[in-house]
Amino acid sequence: MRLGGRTRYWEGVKKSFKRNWQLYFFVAPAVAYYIIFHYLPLYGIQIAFKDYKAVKGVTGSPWVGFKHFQTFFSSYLCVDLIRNTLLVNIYNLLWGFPIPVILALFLNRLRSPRFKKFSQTVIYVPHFVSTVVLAGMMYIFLDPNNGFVNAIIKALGGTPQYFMAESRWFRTVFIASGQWQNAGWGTIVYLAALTGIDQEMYEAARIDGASIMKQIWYIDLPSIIPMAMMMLILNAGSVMAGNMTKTLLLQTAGNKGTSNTIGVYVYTMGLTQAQFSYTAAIGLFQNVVSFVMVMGVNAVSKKLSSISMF
Amino acid sequence: MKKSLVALLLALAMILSCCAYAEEFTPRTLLTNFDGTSMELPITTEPVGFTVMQGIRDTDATTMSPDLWYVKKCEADTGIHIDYIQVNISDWSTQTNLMFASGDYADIIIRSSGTIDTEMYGVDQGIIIPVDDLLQYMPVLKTRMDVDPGYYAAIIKSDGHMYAFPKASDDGTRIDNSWFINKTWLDNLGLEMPDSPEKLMDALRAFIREDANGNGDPNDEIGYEATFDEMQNSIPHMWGIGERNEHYMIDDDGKVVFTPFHEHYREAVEFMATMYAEGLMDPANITQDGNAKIAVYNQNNIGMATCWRLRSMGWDVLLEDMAWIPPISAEGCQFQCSTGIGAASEDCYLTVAIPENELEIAAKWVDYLMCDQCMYETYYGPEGNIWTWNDEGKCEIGPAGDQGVMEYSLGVNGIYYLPPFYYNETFVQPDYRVERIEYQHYYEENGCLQKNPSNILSNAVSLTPDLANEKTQIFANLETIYDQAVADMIMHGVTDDAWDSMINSLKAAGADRYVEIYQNAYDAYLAK
Amino acid sequence: MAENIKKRGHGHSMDRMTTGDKIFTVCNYIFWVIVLLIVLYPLYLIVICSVSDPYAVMNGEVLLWPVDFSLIGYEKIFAYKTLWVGYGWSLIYTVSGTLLGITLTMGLAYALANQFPGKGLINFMVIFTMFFSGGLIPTFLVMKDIGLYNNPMILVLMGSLSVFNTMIARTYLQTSIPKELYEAAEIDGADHFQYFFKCVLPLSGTILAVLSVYIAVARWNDYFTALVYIRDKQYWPLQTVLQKILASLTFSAGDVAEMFQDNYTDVAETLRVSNVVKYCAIIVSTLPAVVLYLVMQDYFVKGVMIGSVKG
Repeated sequence: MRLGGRTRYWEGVKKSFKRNWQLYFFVAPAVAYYIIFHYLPLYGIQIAFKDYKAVKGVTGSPWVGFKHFQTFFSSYLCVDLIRNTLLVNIYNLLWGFPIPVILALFLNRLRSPRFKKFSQTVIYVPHFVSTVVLAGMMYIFLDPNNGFVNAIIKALGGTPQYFMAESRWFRTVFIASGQWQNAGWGTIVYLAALTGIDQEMYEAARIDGASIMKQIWYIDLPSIIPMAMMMLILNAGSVMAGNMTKTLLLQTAGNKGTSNTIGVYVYTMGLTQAQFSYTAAIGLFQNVVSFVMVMGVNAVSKKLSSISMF
Repeated sequence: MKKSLVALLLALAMILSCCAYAEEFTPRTLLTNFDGTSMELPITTEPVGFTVMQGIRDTDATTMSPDLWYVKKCEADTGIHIDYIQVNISDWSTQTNLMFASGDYADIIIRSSGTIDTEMYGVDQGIIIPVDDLLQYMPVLKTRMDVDPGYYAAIIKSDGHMYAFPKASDDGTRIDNSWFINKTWLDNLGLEMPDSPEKLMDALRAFIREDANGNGDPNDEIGYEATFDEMQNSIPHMWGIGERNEHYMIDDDGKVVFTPFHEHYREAVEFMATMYAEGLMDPANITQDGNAKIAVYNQNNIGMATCWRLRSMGWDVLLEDMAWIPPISAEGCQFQCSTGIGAASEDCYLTVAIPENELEIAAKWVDYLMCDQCMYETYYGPEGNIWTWNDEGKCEIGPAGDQGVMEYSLGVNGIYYLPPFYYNETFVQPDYRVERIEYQHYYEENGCLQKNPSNILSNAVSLTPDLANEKTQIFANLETIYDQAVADMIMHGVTDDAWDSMINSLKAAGADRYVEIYQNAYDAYLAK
Repeated sequence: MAENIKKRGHGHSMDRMTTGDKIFTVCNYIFWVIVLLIVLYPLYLIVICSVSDPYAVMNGEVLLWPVDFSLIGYEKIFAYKTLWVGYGWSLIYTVSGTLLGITLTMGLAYALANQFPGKGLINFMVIFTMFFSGGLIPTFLVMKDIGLYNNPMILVLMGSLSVFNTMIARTYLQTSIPKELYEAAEIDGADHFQYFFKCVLPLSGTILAVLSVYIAVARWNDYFTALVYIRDKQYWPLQTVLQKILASLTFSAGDVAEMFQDNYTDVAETLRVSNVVKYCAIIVSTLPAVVLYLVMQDYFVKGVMIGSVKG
C-alpha cells in the first residue's frame, strides 16, 4: 500500500515539474534582458546621494547623503513645482482614462465597416504628430490676432481669450492637445478586448430585448474593465512625470505660474553640467512617488476588481 | 596618324579639365600673416592623429565628414589626420557628460556655442589640461595675444592658468539691440522722430489709430513687435537700466543691482503695460518665439522694432521703411544699453588623452588654424569662392554675400582669434557690420554705454562650482516669478499690490543672495 | 482536439433594431463625424502646411488651402543624403525589434499568467524596473562594457521588452483564453510548449496585433537610443536623422541674436525652411506606420480566429 502511494506522489511531482521547468524557458530570455539592460546599471541610483565627479566615476565620488533632496525641497518654488506637476498629470489621467474607453465603445458600434475602418485609422494618426509640430499648431490656432479659435468665439458672441499667455489656460491647452494626440491611440487596446466578446452573448441579449445602450453597458463595458483597470494601474505612476519637451514648448512668460513643472526645472538645471547629481536626485524622488502611486492603485484595484499586477 | 593624335590630345585635355574641376588642393608650405608672423608647413611628417569633438550649431548644415573641403585642406597642409566627432549643440550637454563619464576622452574639444565647465573639469578634476606652457610653440597666436593681454584675461581660471585657447571675432561693437521705427509712417502722418518716451508713445498711438500705411484701413497696423525677452532687454534701457537676460546690472558706483529692484524699473513696466492696454504692441509679443516674430517682420507692417540690426538677419524687407531711432532717455535718466565687454572666450580645449610627446604638435595644429589665411578659410570657405584678398590685403566678401559656407567649411563653429585691432586690419566689414558700428559711434558720444558693463558678470567673472550651482538654482526661481508677474502686469496693468507682491516674492526667493554672490565675485575680480 | 471556427465580434443584422437603437445609430454617426472633423482638420492642415510658405503658416494665413505653394520642404528632406539610408535602417530595426519584442513579451506574459516557483520574484523584478533605473550614464557605461556601444544591435535589443506591454499581454491571456482549454490540455497530458504553440498562440491573434503595433511604433519613433549609443551616423535610423531639424526649432528658437549674427542669412533661411520641413518630416515618417495599422486592422475589425474546443 505504501509503495503504491509513494509512486502516485512522485508521479504528481514529476508531472508538475515536467510542466514548470518549461516555463523557465519562457522567462529566461526576458530575465536576461532585464538583468543586462536594467539591473546591471542599477548601481547608478547612488548618484542621487553623491556629488558625482566624472573623473572619479560613480563609485569613487564622495557621498553627500540627502543634501540634494534638501536643496530641492527647500527651494523657494518647490511647492509650486510639485503642485503644478501633480495637477497637470492628474487632470491628464482623469481625462485620459475615460475618453479612449468611450471612443472604443462607440467605434465598435459603427455599422458601416468602411466608415469604421476609416475612423479607426484616422483617430490613430495624431499619435505620430511630433510634439514640436503639435505645439506649433497650438500657437497658431490660439493666436490672439489670427487664430481661428478666437475668431469662432467672437462669432459666437464671447470674449476672445489669450490662451497661451494666461496661467489659467495652460493646463487646458496641455491636456486638450494631449488628448487629441493620444486618445485614438489609446483605443487600440480596448478594441482588441472588444473583439474577444462571444457572439452568443449578443444573441442572447437581443433575444431578451436589450437595446444597444444596454448591450454596451452590460456586455461591452465589462469586457473592457480588466484591461482598463490594468491601464489605470500602469498610468498611475505618471503623476509626478516630467513632460519636459511639451511643457517647454508650450511655456510662455505669461503661464509660468502653472507651467513650471519638474520637467522644465530639471531641463534648466541640466544645462549646467555640474547639476548632474542634483537632477538625479529629483529623478529618484519622481520614481519613488511613481512607485507608491502604482502600488497604491494596484492594491485598490485588487480589492475592487481583482485586477492586479501580481 | 593625325586622327589618333588629335584624339589623344582631346582625351588629355578632357582629363586635365576634369582635374581642374576636381577639388584638388595644393598643400602650402608657408603661411604669412598681417602682423609679420608666419608658419611653416607641414607640421609633422610622422603619422600623428587626433580626435576632435566639434560642436556644430543645429542651424548649420555642416557635416564633418572626411570629404569636407575644410577637413581635407587641413590634413593636406599640416600632415595631421583628424577624426571629427560632430556634436550638435542641442545634444552637447548629453554627449559631453557621457564622454567625461566614460573616461574615453576626445583629444581636443572645440565647443562652438556649447558649454564646458573648466573650473570643474580643468581646475578641479584635471581632465582638461592647462595650455599656458604650450604657448611657447605658438608664435602666431602668442604674438597676437601679447598685443592686448587684458583682452583674454577672462579665460584665466581661479588657479591662474589658462585651460583653453581664446576665441574672438569681435568687430568692436559693444551695443546690444538697436531701436527702429517706421519712418515711412512717421512721414505719412507728419510726425518727427521721437526723442522722449512720451513722444514715442504718441507716435505709436498715431500709427495704431490712424491709417499710417495709407491703404485705407486705419486698423490693420501693428505697433511694437518683439519677443518677451527682447522687450525686457530693451525698454528698460530708456531709464538707464542696461540689463540683458539675467536681470543684473552694475551701476556707476560698482554695485551689482538686481534690475527689478532698480528705482525706475516700475516705470519701464508701466510703459509696457500702457502699450499693451492701448493696443500699441502686438499682443503676441508675450508668447511668441523668434521664428513667429520674424514671420511678422516679413509682412512689413510694423511700427517699431528693437532688434540686432536690419540687414542680413532674414528681415531685409524692413529696410524699405524702418529707420534707426537715436537712443531715447526718460526724464532725469540716461539711456544705457547692455554693453558688451569685448573679451575673448574659451573655445578650444586639450584633454589628458593627448600623449605627452604630441602636445607640441597639437599646439601647432591650433596655431595653424590661427593664421590669417586659415581663419578666413574656416569662416568663409576656399579663397576665391565667397571671399578674396583685396588690394589692401584685407579679406573681402564678394557681392554674392556669405551664403553657402556650410558646404565647405565650419563658419562660426571654427577656431579663430580676431580681436578688434586685428579683425579690422585684415577684414573688410560687410555693410551689416558697418551699420552697427555707426550706431555705436552715437552711443559712445552720447553716454549710452555703461561705465561698468554688466556683461562682465557673465563673461569675465568666474564662480566656483558650488556658488555657480547655488546661483543657477536661485535664478531659476527668480526668473519664473519675474516672468509670470511682469507678464501679468503688462497684460492687466501695474497696481501697487501686484508690484509689491512681485518684489516680496523675489526677495523671498533669494534675490538678495543672488546679488551678493555676484557682488563678491565682482569685487574679487576688481581686486585682481 | 476538435477545431471549430468561432466567430467573434457582434453581428450586423439591421432588421431587429428598435427605435431606440435607430436613434443611437444615427447619433453615433453624428458623433463620429464631429470627432473625425476635429481630428482631421489639424492633420489636413499639416499636409497643406508642408507645401506652403512658412511665414504664411506662422501668421495664420493658411486655413484651407496652401499659400504660396512650394515644395522646398520636401526638396530639403529628400536632399538629406542620409534620409533614405535612415529609412532603410529604420525598417530593419523596426521589423527585427518587433519580432524580438513579441517573442520576449509573449513568453514572459504566458509564464506570468501561470503559477510556478519563483513567479512572484520574477514578477516583482520585472515591475521594479518600471520605476527605478540607474540613469543614462551608468546604462551607457554598461553598454560600453558589453560591447553594445556603436553597435547597431543595440537598436534592436533595447526597448524590446516593456513592463507595460507585458502586463497588457498577461491580462489578455488571463481573461481571453478560457480556463477549460487549459484543463482539457492538462488532461491530454500536453506540456507547456505544446499548449502554448498549439492552443494559446492561435487564439492570441488580437494581442499579437496589439503588441506588434505598440512595439513597432515605439521602435520606429525612437530617436534617442541611436543619438546616444551609435556614433557612426551611417547606422542612424530615420527619426534620429530628422531630429536635428526639430531640435533646431525646439532649442534655438529663443536664442539671442548675437549668437547667430554671423552667417545669419544662412541661419535665417535654415530656420525658415525648418518650419516647413517639420511638417514634411511628419508625413514622410508617418506613412509606414499608417500602412502597418491598415494591415493590422483586420485583426481588430473582423476578428476571425481559429479556436479550439474539446468535444
